[in-house]
Amino acid sequence: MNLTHLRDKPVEWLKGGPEEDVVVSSRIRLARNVDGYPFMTTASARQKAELERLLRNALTPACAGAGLTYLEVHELDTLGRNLLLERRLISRQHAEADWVRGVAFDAGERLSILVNEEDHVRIQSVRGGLRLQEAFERADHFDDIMSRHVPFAFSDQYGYLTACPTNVGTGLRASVMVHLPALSMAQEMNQVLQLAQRQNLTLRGGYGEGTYGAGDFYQVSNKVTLGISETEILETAHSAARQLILMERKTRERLHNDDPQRFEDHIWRAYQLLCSAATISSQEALNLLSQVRMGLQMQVLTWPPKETVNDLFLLTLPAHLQTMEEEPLDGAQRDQLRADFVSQRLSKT
Amino acid sequence: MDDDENKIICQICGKRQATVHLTEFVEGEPVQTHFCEACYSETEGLPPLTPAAVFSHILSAVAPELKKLTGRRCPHCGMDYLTFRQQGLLGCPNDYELFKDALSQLLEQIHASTEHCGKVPPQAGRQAALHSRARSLRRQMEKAVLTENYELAAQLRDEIQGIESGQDEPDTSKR
Ligand SMILES: [Zn+2]
Ligand SMILES: [Zn+2]
Repeated sequence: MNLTHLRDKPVEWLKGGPEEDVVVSSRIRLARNVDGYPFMTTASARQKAELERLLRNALTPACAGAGLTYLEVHELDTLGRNLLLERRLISRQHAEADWVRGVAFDAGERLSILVNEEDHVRIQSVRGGLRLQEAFERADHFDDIMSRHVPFAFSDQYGYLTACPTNVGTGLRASVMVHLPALSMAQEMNQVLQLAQRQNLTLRGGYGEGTYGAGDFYQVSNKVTLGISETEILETAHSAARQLILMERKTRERLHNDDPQRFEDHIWRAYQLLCSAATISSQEALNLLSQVRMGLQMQVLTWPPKETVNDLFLLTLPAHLQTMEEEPLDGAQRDQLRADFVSQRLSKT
Repeated sequence: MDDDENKIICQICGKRQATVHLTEFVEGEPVQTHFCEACYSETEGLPPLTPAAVFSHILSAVAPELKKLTGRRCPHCGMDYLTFRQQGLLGCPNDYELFKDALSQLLEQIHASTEHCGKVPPQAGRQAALHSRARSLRRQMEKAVLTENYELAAQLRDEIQGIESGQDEPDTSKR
């Protein structure tokens, strides 16, 4: 199964939405397990295969109705799995597992249902901009549909039962990916962290484990899933996002007003470097694109188009770059290809 | 090897070397935050730093658990409590009942609650849905009291009583 065609398809959630100057996307995840089966931790190979079959069948009518594609992830090669990972259709854990598993997703890649992840089912729904409620409703709807075909493990006291006690109860994780270049530049991230701590939210890197602060993207999500209703979880994350938006906007304005020349120069240099570098690492590209993104949002730059920049965040990632070449690339070759590709996309001709 | 390469910089100030590394678990994945000591002490809501305080923090968490480690093993999935605590993942839905005593403490630490309030799947039945609804209302009522919105609190109290009196086991001891 070749997935390289995915590369040329822009991802809906990268296209922006409400409050897109600060909020990249809103993401919902529901964790569910099938009643009568052990969690993935202790399930035998036979039980894992049974679960996959059962859930695939339960998804079939939903797949047809909503135009979902189902992929058997264990049948994919590493490049295919990494593509899905970079597009956030699957998690790192799911990409690296060594058992029978699958994923169903829609054409716009706004919904993905992971089969046999840490939990039997993970329903993920994502929207561009600050749209948690909308994202939640879609996931909730699919939860309803699946519940008609499979009984999910549930206890009156603990709610939806999950492999990890940190997810039990609603099984709901609501996260907002925010872009905070000005707060980072002004060294005010401690305020952000404090805000998160106060409201019982987690702050982590927008690009997954070990990427704290990369490109100034952060994810804010709820810590607590038990004893709190879905509505309250959504409201808490939403209001924290609103506060962050205000803080970031104020700081952008302040930095710009304090020293317009320095501020604009900083952004211009980032753009110039992206246009002219001969070799560029994934990390560096991310950091420079971050500055350009802010420059466009603040109209310091009027070129390139926002869509181009949004696409580049995805296309400069290693697996996506690899799809452009037949032969496997080593790190140095990839950095050259990345530099060529970026400058070509940013050029006006 | 250059020494500077291995230096981790504080994620808060982005300047000083990080000497405090806080690990939290998010979706089963360890998430590390690196602080310099100055920034750590300025951030609210973090665990204490002095060795004595850390030790008592750990001890108070572990002592009651040690008693529960007496080889209780799940007949369905084979999970025992020690393995669970090592890997952080339970083996099957039954483990929530089996390790109930030790888990309630853990859940209280993570969620500050041991009772679900939220969505209920259709197969769980009307009773479960009512329980969940009553807990959710009680939570709202407590919030209303805290914000001194007594009118709303009274409304919510009546609604909760309505639900409870409608159930097949009315709790008469309360009134
Ligand atoms: Zn610091
Ligand atoms: Zn078990």
